Amino acid sequence: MGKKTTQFINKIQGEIDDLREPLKVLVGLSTTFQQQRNEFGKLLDAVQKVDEKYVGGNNQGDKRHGHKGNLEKDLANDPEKKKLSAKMDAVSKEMEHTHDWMDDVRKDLNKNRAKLNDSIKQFEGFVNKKKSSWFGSKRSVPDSEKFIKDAKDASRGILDVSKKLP
Amino acid sequence: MAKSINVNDAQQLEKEADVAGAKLDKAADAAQSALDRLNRLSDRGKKLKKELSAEPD
Repeated sequence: MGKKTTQFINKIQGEIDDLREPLKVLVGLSTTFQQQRNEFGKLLDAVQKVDEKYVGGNNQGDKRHGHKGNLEKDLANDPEKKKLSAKMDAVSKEMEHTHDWMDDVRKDLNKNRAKLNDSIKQFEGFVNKKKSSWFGSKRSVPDSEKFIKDAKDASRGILDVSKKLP
Repeated sequence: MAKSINVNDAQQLEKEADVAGAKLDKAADAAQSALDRLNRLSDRGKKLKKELSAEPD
């Protein structure tokens, strides 16, 4: 029992390591995406302020009728707006990249979870088959069963993460 | 050179990012719990291996 059980546990521990990596990436992505959203929001506020110079804000009234020339063209050519637009474009691309990363994390989690589930199933089959011949005399039997139960709980936790991902 | 940003499009993008961000935060919390659970499982595995090495076949 000992050798085979150790092999199962080693295999499962390797799979645990494979699952840790995408989970850590995900925790980091949450912070990164928050920073990108904050940056995007600030840039959007700044763009709206530039627009208000041309078309007026809530407390300024409509400036459009008093504008000489082509307002839309002038607004699009405003150097500050151009600069802000370029920055917003860059941040939105970064956010897209973060989304792609989330998809990769989900794929890794699902793939590695499937491997873990397979190992748990095999280990459980092995323990159940062997249990009757041990007459319940070995302490490692209930501990193996507890390990299997905890591994199943951990697997469900991974599924929960995968489902919560946007 | 990037073309001038459309504020309405940017506001829509911001809304979508807020929704995605809220979901991602929840997923990250769940990921932290899953990591803790995996760490405990790994410790349990180490303990079990130790026990097996001391146990007669």
